[in-house]
Amino acid sequence: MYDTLSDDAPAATFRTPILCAHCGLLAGPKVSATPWFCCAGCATVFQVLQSAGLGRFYDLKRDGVCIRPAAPVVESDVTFNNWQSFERNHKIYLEGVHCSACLWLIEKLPEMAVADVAEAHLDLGHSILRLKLTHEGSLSAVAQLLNSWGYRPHLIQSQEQGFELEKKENRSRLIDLGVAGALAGNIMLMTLPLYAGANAEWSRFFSYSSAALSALSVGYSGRSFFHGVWASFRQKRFSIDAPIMLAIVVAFFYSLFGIYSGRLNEIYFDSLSSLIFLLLASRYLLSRLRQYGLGESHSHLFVNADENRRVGERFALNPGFRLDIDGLIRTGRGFFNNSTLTGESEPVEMRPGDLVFAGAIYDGAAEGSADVEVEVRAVGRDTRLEQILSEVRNQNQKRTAREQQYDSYAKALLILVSIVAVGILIYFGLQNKIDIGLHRALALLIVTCPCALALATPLAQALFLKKAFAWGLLVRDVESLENANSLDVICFDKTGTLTEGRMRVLENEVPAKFFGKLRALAHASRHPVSRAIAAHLGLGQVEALSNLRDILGVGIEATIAGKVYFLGRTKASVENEKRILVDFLEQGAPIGRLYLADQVRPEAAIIVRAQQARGLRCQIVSGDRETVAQDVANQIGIAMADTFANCSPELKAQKIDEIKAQGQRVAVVGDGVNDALAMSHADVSIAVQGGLGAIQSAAGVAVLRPGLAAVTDFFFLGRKLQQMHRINFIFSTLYNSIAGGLAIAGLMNPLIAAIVMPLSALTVFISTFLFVRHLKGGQS
Amino acid sequence: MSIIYFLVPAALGLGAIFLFGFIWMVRTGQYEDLETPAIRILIDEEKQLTTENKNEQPTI
Repeated sequence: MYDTLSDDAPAATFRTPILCAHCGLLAGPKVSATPWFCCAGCATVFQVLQSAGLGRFYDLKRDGVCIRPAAPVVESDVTFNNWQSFERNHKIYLEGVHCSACLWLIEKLPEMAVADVAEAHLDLGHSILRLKLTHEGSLSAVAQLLNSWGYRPHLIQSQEQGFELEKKENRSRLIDLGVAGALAGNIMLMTLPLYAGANAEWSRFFSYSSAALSALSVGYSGRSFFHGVWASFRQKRFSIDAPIMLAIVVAFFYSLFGIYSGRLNEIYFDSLSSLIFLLLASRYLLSRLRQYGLGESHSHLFVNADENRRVGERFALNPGFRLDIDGLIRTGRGFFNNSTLTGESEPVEMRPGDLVFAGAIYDGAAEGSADVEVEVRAVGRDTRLEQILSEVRNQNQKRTAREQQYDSYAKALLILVSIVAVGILIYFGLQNKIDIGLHRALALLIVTCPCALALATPLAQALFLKKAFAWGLLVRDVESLENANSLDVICFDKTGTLTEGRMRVLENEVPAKFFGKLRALAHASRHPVSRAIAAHLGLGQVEALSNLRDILGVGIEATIAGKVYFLGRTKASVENEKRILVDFLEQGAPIGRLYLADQVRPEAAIIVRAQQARGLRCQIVSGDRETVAQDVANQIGIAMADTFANCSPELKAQKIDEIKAQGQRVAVVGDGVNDALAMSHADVSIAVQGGLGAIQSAAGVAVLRPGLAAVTDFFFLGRKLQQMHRINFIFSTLYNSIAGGLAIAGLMNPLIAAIVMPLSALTVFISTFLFVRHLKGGQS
Repeated sequence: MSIIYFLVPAALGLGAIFLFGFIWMVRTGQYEDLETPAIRILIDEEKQLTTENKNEQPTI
C-alpha cells in the first residue's frame, strides 16, 4: 500500500503548506516515517483504509464539503475486547463523523467481511450509528474496525433512558401538534358557512359538527395544558397556563351555550381550536429549540469514560491514546499533553509514580523507554475531569438572579391579568352586557403572555453559554456572564496573563559555530532559561558532553571535547532589570551572550485599550518586581498609579476587596494559580491559562484557547447578553401593554388574540436565536 | 344540497387518513433524522461508480 503513498507523495510534499493526507490539517513537524500526515493516528487510519480498498473515501471527502476535519484518536483495540453482547441491535455514538465521506465509509460496514454486520445506519446529525449484527456478528469486532478507521465508538447503553424518553416525548408532542392542526383546520372550514350566513338547517349541522370536533380538540390536544395547570396547582404555584386554560374552558362552554340559545355569532370553536394549535406549535418549537440549545453539552468534546476499566487494573498505553481514566504511572517514561486540564500546551514528561488524568493525551515514550504502563486509579464519574465538568454543569443549572426577577415579573403579570379579566366580567355583567365582557376578558386572557421573558431568558443564557464554549470559554456559572457588563475595574495578573509566561531568547550573540556545544548544555538542564535557549536553537547537531555540573541558581557547566563550557549568570553579566542575561563561557573566557525576557503578548495592548475605551479601569496586580511590572504597564498603556507590584496572593485579594469596598465591581484576569485567592474575591474571574483545572479552584470562567483575545470575547458576550435581555424586556412590556390595552378596549377579537400571542413568543425566540447566531468572534 | 351530509364526513375521513399517515410517520421516526437521507441518496450513485472502478483496475 505504500506504493500509492509514494505516488501522492511528491505533490503533497512540494505544496506549501504540507497538509495531512488523511485529515487535511497542517502536518506538523512531529512526523514519523510518512511526512505528509499530521499525526500517527491519521497515518494509521490512512493505511487501514487503503488496505481495505476503501481509498475512495478520500475522493468523496475532496468532492463533498467536509465540515470540520479532525485528526482521529486511535485507541488500543484491546479496549473493545470486552464489548460483548447477545443483542443484535445496537446504538453507537461515533466520534468524528461529519461529512458524506464518513457516511459512505460507515455504511460500507455490511460489505466488510470481518464485521458481520447486517445493517448499518448512520444519523449524521446526532453522530449515532444504528447497527444490526448477523447471527455470528461480534460487537467488539465492529468496534475495533470503527476504531481503526478513526471513529472512536461509544456504546449507547440501554440504560440511557433519558435520551429515549426525550425522543418519545418529542414524538408524542409532534403527534399532538398534528392532531390539533388537523382539528383546527377542519373546524375553521366548518365555521365558514356560519360566518357566510347559512340557513338554519345548515348552521345547526355545522355548529354541531364543529362542536364535536372542538370537544376533541379541547379534550385531547388541550390536555397538556390541563395537566400543567393541575400539576402546578397541587404544588401551590400559579402556572402560566392557568389563564390560557381558563380562556379555553370559558370559550368552549360559552360557545356550547351559544348553540343552545341559538346565538350562532357567539361561537368561538374556531378560535379556541386554533389557539390550542398555535400554542402547541410554539411550545413544540420552543422545546426543540431548548433541547438544541442545551443538548450539545460540554461532554461532547471530551472523552466518554469507558466503563470497562477497573480500578487497580494495569495496562500499557499506545501513542495517541486519550486517557479516559485517572491513573498512576507504573513503568516507563513518556510525554503527556495535559492541555485540557492544565492549559499547558507543550507535552510534559511523566515518570513512574506521577499521576496522569483523564483528558490527557499520551504522546509517546521518552527516549530509551518502553511505552508507559499505568495503573487505573479512578474511572468514570470519579475522574478529575468528570468531577470538574459535573461541577460546571451543576453551577449552570442554578437559577440566576435575573431569571428569578423575570419569574416574579411573569407571576405579577399573570395575576394582574386574571384580576383585570374578572373585573371586566363583573363590570359588564352588572350592566347586563355579559357577552361584551366575556369577549374582552377572553381576548385579554389569551393575548397577554409573559413567555417572552420567563422562557426567553433561560434560552438566551443557554445559547450564550454554548456560544462561549464554542469560542473557547468555559463558563462555570451564568452569573459571571451576567455580571460581565457591569464591571468598573479589571485587574490583570502579569506573568502568564499579559505576558506569555515563559522565557524567550530576544538576542543571541553566540557565534553559530558554537551552537552544537550550546545546544548540548541547554538540553542538559530543565531550567526554564535553558529550555528557552534550546527552543531558540531548534533542532541540529548536539555535541557529546561529560562532567555535567549543575550550579544551582547560577548555571551549568560541562566538558565538551576537552574544554570546560559554562552557561549561566557570571559576575560580568550586569543585572538588567527588564531582561535576563546569560553568558556562554569557554574555559572561563566569554564567547557570547544571550538576552532573554518574558515577552508581553502582542494582543495585550489592544485588549487593554479596548476595555479602557469602554470606561473600565485596567490595573496590573503582579507579584513581580516593580521595574518589570512598570515596564509591562508602559508597553500596554496602563497608568503607573494602576500598577501594583510585589503583591503576594493575599495582598492581591486585599486589593480586590479595597476596590469592592468603594462600591465598584471587579474582574480578575489571571492564570488561576497564584491569583486563585484574588479570583474568589472578585465579581468575575477569568483564568487565561490552566485549562479546566483552573475552574475548579476559583475562576468562574476558564479560557480554553491560547491567547488573551478570548477575554475580549467574554466581555463582548456579556455586553450582548445584557442587550438581549433588554430587547426581550422592552418587547415583552410593549407587547403586553399594547395588546392588553387593545383587548380591554374591545378592539382585539379573541381569534386575533389567539394568533398574535404565540406569534409574539415565537418572535422572541427566533430573534434570540438569530441574535446569538450572528454574534461574531472567537478568533484569536 | 343534501350531498353535503355525505361530503363532509368524506372530507373528514380523507383528513383522518392523512392524519393517521402523519402519526405513523412520526412513530416510525421519519421526522427524526432529516439530514442524513438527503446526503445518503447522493452517495448511492457514487457507490456504483466505485464498484465499476474497482472492476476496471483492481489495485492495492
